[in-house]
Amino acid sequence: MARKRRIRGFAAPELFRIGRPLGMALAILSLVVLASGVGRAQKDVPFEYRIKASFLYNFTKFVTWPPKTFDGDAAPLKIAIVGDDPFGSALDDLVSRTAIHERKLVIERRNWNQDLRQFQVLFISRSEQRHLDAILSGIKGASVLTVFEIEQFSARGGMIGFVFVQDRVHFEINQDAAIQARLAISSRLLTLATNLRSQSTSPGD
Amino acid sequence: MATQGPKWFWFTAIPAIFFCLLIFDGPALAQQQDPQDLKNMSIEDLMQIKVSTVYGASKFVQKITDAPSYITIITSEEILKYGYRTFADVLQSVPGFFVSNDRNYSYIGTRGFMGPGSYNNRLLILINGHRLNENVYDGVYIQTEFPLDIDLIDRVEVIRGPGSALYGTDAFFAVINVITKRGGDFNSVEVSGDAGSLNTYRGRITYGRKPKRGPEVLLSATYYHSLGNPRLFFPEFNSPETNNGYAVNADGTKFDSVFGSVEYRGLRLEAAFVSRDKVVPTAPYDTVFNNPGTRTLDQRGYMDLSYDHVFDNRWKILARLAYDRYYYHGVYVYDTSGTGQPPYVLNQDFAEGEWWTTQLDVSRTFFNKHHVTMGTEERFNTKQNQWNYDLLPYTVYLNDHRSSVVGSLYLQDQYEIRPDLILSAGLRFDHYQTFGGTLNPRIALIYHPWEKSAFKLIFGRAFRAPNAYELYYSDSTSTEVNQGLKPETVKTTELVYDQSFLTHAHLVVSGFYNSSNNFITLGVDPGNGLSRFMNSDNVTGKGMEFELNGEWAHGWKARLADTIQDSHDSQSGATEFASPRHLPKINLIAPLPWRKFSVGIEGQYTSRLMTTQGSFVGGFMLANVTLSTPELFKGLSASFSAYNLLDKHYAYPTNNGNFQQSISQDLRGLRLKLTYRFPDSIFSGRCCGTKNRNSKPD
Repeated sequence: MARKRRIRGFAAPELFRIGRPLGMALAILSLVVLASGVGRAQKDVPFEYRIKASFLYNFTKFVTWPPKTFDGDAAPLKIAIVGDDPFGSALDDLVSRTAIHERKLVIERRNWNQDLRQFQVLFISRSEQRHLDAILSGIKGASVLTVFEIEQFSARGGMIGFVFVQDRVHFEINQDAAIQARLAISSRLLTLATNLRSQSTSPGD
Repeated sequence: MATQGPKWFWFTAIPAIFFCLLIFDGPALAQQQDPQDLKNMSIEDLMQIKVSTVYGASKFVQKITDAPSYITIITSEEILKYGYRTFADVLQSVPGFFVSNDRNYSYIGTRGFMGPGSYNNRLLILINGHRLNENVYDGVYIQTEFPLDIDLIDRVEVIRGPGSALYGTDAFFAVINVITKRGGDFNSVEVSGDAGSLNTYRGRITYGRKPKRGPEVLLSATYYHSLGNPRLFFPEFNSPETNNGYAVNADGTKFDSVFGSVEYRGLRLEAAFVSRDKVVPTAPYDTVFNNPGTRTLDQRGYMDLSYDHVFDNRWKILARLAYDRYYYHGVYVYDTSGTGQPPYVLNQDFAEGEWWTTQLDVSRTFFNKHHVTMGTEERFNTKQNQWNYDLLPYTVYLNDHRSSVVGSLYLQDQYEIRPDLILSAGLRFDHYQTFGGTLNPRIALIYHPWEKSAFKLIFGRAFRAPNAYELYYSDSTSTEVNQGLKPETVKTTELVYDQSFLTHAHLVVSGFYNSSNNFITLGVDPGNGLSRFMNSDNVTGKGMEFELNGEWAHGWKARLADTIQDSHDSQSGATEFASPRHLPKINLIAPLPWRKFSVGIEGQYTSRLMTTQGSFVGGFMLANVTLSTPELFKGLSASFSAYNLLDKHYAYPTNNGNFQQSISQDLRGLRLKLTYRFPDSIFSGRCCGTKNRNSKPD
């Protein structure tokens, strides 16, 4: 079996006459535009977290808190990012000048060992995996919606967990945990959840 | 013209499209980046935004930019919009890949290497993580002999470079993981039929369901029949005794395949089976020309039971028990009397492989920074049998029955040194009864100097163990066995630059250097003149791969890719056979303003290919166009495709026992495909379900 034969080396690129000047000009122009784009991109928040920020904001629309959770009608809806903040300014930009359930939205940053019972929503960052149990026991009995971004979060007693499904950001819901915290999650959100952990036979409004 | 293709492409087409992408796309996508815009999107819309992820590169879901490889993903949407007919069509579209065909099997070439006689055993193909390469030739069959109907593919992850550190043998040049659709992707009954040129028909019926409670189920069956080209001309046989070179009605194909999966709470049972029958028109291995009695039957099936669970909230376990089977029966018609008249001798060639696999992967994240995966895989090859005999007169040439065990252990750590720096290190040990143990590492450093850029520096070693065919196949008259074969190895160094810009534009440039040793090739034993397999060749391959992707608003999508590669024998300098130096590709999906129609256009240029005699065929430009809509009417999707639109004559070199130096391929072909999904209300009343259902549950 004569499998291999020597052939001539790389033919020197002697052609590409007409297209070349035009192509080169466009290439240089493109690089300029690209370079400016890259420069802008540096300070950007990861696209994934801009999407997750938008999810987080949307979740608040579909959850009803017991009225006594708030210190009066004018009290804001408070969201805490616990641990390392992956959102940068994305979440703040998103909620500025926005009201949900006729309440202003406020974003704060907290550590795991601070008091978290005063918040309506906790986004628990990936960095807090070790403190998860401590955080959840700290807010036990309070009506706090907990959102996390690691698989099986629901199994550990969290309420909404981000997951990747087929390249897209989806979420799991642990309705039992929400009910225990006296939170009502709308059926629209429940229907969209990738996984639903629930004792009741049908999702209620 | 042929040699001008790539240069025209590089110096005009790429800059022009790149420029258009930036200029026309910029404003629209810049708006999408605006947080206010994301804010106004509904949850349903947010759930449709893509963040590219991959599973197969490290055995956990990670962002593509964090994975230790250059990766391409092909989705079911692209399969529909480009009108891909088989898995081979999908791979042909992948940057840096090319697929050839000898009118019996299809062969994948990548990284400057194409082994037409090796049945793709230097690539590892997985379906949902289940190894598809069989245990006699280590081959994997990708065209009509692929076990999965093309419509059941959800996505294909193409992971380039050495994968043996995670997957063991055959993960030599790439690992390709095919992820199937699930019951919830259908939630109904779907029927699909297509009809195409050369009397080609295919029908499929699929049932899929994901109830709110209870197991998610998918069942599907496909039937395919093609008469093939009724009059094939082979100039090498152009003489009156051999019908003036025409093989008449000798190109038919038939296959049946079934696929099913049931999953519930992390427990998943999956089964697949395909049986393909092909008439071989090329008269391989000196068989009688123009005789449709020369044919091959290939059957491949498996059952895979897996359990995926997180214990104690920390330990993620994947356990797998699988049974696999491969069966091949070739009938080869010989004119042993030399009269040119019947009765002919029918030579029967068989291979039968049967094996059980157990696998256990355990992974856990330590200190938030180390994602560690440990695993063990054992393959019990209960049958690796080959036999060959003549019917009438009955003469046995080979009757070889083997069994063997392969055991392995592996460990991988993805270590986040800093938020912008990841070290991925893996090591796998495999033990074979024939040659002993082999240890294969992979180390990758992934650096994100800023959010949208990634540099990946990858070093790895991969191997391919000698297969049962190479070790034991002998007709004891002209060939002999060589049981002292060692595994082939490849050491790869690769640098990948990955740059996103705007929102959905993406550039990848990769440079690789492969040093392969001990390639197993057929040689001659100097002692007795018999041919046998030997570890003889060392091959050096290097190349550059380039890919530019863009997505516009409203579903516009474009991809440009080119590969420049060169492989040659390290000692003699001889260039690698049958592999092109250039592989420019252009892909475009353009939406039309009526009933969600879109046009998918592909241009694939393959530069000239060397045959075994050192002559060349090609290069050639193939263009495919598909007009499709996911919803012509409620529930009905339709597509109309033209393949090889330019009606090019082209051929692929072959060395799989053919007298011909190259095998010419089909000219322009058309196909019409219709798929109807019944409304999900056919599940009486109490059904629930899909993620995207708008109506409220009862």
